[in-house]
Amino acid sequence: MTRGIVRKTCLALLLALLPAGSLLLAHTLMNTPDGRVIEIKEGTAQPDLAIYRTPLKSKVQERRFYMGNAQYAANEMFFVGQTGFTDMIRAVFPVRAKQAFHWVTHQEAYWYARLTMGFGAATSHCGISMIHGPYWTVKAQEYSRKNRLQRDRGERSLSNKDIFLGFYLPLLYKRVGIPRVFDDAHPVYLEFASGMPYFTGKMGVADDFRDPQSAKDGAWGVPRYWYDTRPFRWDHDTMDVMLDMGAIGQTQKRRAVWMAYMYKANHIEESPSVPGEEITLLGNDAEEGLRGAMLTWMNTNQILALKAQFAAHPDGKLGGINPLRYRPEEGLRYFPHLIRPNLTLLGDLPERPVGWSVKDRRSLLWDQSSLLWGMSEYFHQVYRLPEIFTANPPVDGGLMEKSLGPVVRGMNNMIVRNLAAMHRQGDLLVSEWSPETGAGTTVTLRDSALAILALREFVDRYLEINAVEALGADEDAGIDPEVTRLAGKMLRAQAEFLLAVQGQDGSFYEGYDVTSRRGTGRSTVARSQFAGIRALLAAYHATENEKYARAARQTWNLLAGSYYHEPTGLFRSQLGSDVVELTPYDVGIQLGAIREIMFTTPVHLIEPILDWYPRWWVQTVDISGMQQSELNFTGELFYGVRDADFDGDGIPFASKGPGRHGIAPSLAARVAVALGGSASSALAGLEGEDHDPDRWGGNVRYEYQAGSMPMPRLPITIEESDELVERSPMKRFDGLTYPLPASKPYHPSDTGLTGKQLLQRNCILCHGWTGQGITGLPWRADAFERTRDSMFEIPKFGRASRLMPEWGLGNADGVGSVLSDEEIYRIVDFVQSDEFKTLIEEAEAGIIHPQFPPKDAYYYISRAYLHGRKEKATEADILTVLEAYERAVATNTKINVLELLGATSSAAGAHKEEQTAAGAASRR
Amino acid sequence: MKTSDSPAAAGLLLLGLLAVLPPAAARGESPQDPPEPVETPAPWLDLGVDEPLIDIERKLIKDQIRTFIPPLLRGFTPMHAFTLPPNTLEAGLSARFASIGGDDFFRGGEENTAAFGDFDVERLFLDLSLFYGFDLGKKYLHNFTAFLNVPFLASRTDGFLHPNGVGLIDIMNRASTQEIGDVSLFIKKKVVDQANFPVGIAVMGGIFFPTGANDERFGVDGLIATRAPTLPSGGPPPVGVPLPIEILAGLPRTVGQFPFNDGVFNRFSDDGRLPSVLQPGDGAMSYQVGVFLTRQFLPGDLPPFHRAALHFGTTQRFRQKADGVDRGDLNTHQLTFVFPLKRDFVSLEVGYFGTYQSADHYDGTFITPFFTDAGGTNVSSGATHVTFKEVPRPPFTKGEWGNLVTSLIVSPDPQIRFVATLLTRVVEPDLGPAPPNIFRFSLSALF
Repeated sequence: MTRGIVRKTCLALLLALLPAGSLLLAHTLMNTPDGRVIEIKEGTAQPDLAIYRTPLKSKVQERRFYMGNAQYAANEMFFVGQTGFTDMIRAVFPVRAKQAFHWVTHQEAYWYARLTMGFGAATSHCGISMIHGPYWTVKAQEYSRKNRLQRDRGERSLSNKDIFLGFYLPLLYKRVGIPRVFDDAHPVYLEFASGMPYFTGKMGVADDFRDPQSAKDGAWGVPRYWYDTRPFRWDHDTMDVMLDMGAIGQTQKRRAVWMAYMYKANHIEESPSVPGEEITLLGNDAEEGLRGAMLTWMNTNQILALKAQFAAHPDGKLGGINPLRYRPEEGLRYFPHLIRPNLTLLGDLPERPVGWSVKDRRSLLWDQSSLLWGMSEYFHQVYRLPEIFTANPPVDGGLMEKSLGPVVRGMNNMIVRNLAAMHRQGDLLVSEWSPETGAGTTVTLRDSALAILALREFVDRYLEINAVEALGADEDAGIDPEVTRLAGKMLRAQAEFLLAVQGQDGSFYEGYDVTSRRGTGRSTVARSQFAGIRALLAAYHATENEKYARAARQTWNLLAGSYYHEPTGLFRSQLGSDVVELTPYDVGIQLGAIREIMFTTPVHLIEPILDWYPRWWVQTVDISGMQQSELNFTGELFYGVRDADFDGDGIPFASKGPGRHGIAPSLAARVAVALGGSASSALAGLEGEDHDPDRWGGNVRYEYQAGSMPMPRLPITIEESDELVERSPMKRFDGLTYPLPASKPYHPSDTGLTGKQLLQRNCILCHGWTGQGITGLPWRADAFERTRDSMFEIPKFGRASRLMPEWGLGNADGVGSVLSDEEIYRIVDFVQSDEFKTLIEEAEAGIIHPQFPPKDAYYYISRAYLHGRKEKATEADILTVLEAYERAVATNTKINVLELLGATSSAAGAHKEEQTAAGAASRR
Repeated sequence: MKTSDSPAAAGLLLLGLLAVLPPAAARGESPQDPPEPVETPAPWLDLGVDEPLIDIERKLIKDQIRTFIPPLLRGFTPMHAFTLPPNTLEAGLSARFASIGGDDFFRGGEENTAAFGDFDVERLFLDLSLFYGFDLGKKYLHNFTAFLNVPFLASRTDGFLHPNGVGLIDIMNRASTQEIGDVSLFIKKKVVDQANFPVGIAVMGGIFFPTGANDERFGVDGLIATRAPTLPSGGPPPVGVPLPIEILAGLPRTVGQFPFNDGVFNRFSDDGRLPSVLQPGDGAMSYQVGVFLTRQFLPGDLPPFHRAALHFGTTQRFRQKADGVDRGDLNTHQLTFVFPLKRDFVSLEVGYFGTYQSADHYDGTFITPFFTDAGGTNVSSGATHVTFKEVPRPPFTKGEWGNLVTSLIVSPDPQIRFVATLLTRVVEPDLGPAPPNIFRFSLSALF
């Protein structure tokens, strides 16, 4: 009952805040062909991470993009990105002034995860285009039927393409405010198993995109690649076109979490239909509104494809199924491991399926768990996003039918029932089922962890208040109580099993024979230990039983003591080996385990982990060679025009990375790293491409002090103490409720930091050094219009609809908050000071301040158009901004870049024009 | 509850309004009571249950994309890896015109003007082609195109030829024929689509029915005349006896008076037929198999081309002996590249098209003059005597005949296509006729 009240309160809070969420996100201004100005996120600059870096000897052994592993890693990254960061503030992680931690979570993890989705499953063409999806097929039939009266006899029926391009996209443009869709992007609904992520064309960074529809030729305010995504295609010949159920499940999860992110708020912009009228549009901003719709459509098409085509009989025959009526005892139907699509390339459209065949008839626990994990999330979004899922879209303003909910619900039920029917020996789950031999007898830690995670997600989604209310289910029993109970039972059995087989030292084997309970494989492999932690903590979250958290901490300490290699900041892959093998799964499972350990650790014990975390991330992801490229959002503010690695983090701008035209910002498939000199010879014997972060010319600095950031150990049991405060369960961004451990109250000591210092160490990554907003809102209104107390309320209480963290509230329990009220007031006072107001005005007028890191080149270029520049920007203009910045720093003088870029209107009046153009900025 | 007696019309009206007006949320209006849901079918749960979704898709494919064959990406022959969508008919008419002069006949890879110096053949081929796409709806039995070809041949022959280069023997032939050729029926099957493999691959097999005549003769329905030798004793020249070359003087000019009529006109058969390459038909069933590869280039794959396609195809026609004549197997091969000149409307095809003709074979022997004194075969080499010999019938055609292909493809509508092609000879055959140019024009329409 308590849980229900918490949920209802959170829901009410969320709903109350949603309409208030106005909103623009960011600050490159795009000029649309119809004369509007809309706002797009810009890049930002990173803090100095040199103290976290140590040189590594590594080899990139494989750059291939394996969809399943890559998207799994991105799923884990998402939950430390902007949404996870907000959760951490609510949970009162002592992140105050920890800029490096902010950066590697809120910015790097966020963008790397986001770009993995965009570049991996939309611009790459690495999958079957959504336009061929069953949702559009049904719509094509429906609309053809409806429109028959208006059409000549014998005229052909409407095609999927007609429906998508002719009906839905134009409608969407008006609902989100974007003027057109990206050229050549093909969101896919069924992802291929893998592909080589090299770009096949030259990525255009000048502002010279010519829109064939409107004939607008450049001068958009964004680089060409923003609209022309053709260079981002991967070579089709390198793709493994097999459909891997695990990969499909992971991408389902990917998109479902991003749907919620993209639609967490509306935005106000000029109406695409009524000139001059400002209206509320769907999505955080125009771009994200569009992306959110695409994600929704992609997921829906995928689920319909699964249920309508991929429900295999044990003999390998594929077919459709009504999942709500499905019962395994009446004949098994399941989603087999590999399906080979028979595709055809028809010239003017991407490949389309004309047949399917089962390539691998096995059912794998990883696959089914991935699907359950993903579709449980999607199920949640159907009821979480009532503006999107409506009764009669598009007539009533929605995008998709709410009636899709029962499909997803049925699919989840089907998978849970199948796990019980196919993947069990006794009460325990096993990794594999095959038509010939039935259920196997072993389970791997990897599969076990994901299964527990998925079952926990399923159970809690079926108890989720929105869905319960929407479906009129019993709040305590949830939706489909019989299936929910079955899932809970399997989850508990599996968790108990892990506890039972955990070694004395906290270790896990790679797998176990569930009949004999003996380990299989090795007990000295790091990824099994991380998987064990992830599984145990999922069980802890589901049951709130502390014994699982204790077991997880024991494994954590084992990792800290035996696996962590402090000189390099990496975990040994295997004890006894000095060569570390990193894959996206390793990054994902390590990240997931570390993140959940932090959330399970009392506040007063977290700080050492926060201080260590950037060290682990920088070494594992950035310096090792795992992250292959990046964009402006994570530091390449000048688009690789002169420097491939402007921000000196060892990661090149995407078009300057490996390959003829660069490589997608994604994780490499396999990287080997030598731990120390003795391992170098072993590394030399391995195949692969030597990785040198300095090869991109970024002057990467390595200033890690040996021994300065050890991996902290944790007490297995949190000692009872009168100082400990019991905490309320916390609802994270994903909509699930998590227990928080009892903690000592957090009272940040007054370090004497001024408002300016506090601002620069906590706020600027989102709001910009001069308050123009990046992923957070601009501060003009706060500085010039709001009262002191009015502005104070925003950081104090946060803004759920904008992912503005509750810096001064925390979880509204006795533990406290990250910033004290006094500190927040200091920040407010600084923002409202004349010094900062001047900074805002100067920055808006295009003045570079030598004391601050640079802004994205298109911040200035897009403003130059507003102030009189006519010519479309070239790479030379990007260079102009860069050189102006360098000159400003060298001479310690302010430089007006807009003038250099050919702006003709008065700089002094610039902010007024800009304010008009970006009207939403000043109205919240 | 329905909002209208006609939900379809109501839905259409609402959609029409939405097309020009922003949605309520976008207009910033406060949400009104949402309209009652129109009772539209929402077949989500049962989608694909009673009828396989892929079957629905396959039915829709024809409507959604009227041709599986991008009209501007295929060349002048069907030697590509595309197949038609199920139940789609394409009809085409093509015309080829070839003019073969005397210097377009070859022997040993060289021009054979000694024999064909004054000869000229003009041939017009008309082909009516019907293509039909079908699908048997089972694994491995998808993506078929059936292909029926009905050829017509019109030819006009005019000029003199000199058997064995004997300049003093002129055979004048002036004739024209209009005949149906061998009707053929093929089945083409796409076995690999480029979407699943770097190239699309199709295979083909078919039959040529012996509907065309194989017994066209010299002079039939036309005029034939020769300058014949003077007879020393009124009878036919003795075989194997050297005779003075003056025997070739004298000028009887009708066929009937020609003393060794059988010897000259029976070069290829006892009844004086034309060589097989000039016959409209084979006279017997023949079979053809082929394999075609197509690589499409998508935008960005091959700058500066937007879309383009590379086609390679080869066919082998196995011929049977008929009436003592073996026409020899024929291999056809082609490599062409098609790219748009004006996107969506005009393409250009360039490449190579060639045939390799195995030597034809004619049973039996015939009598023909040889010049023995000077060892030459031509009077101009100084020979003083001619000897008539009975020899096996020689082959008439053999070897590789290769052409550069240039086609202009115009498609004003995806279902209509015009192709104008020029084949320019670049490889001369070892033996037989090979026109220096062939002009081809075709029109096809998809139904």
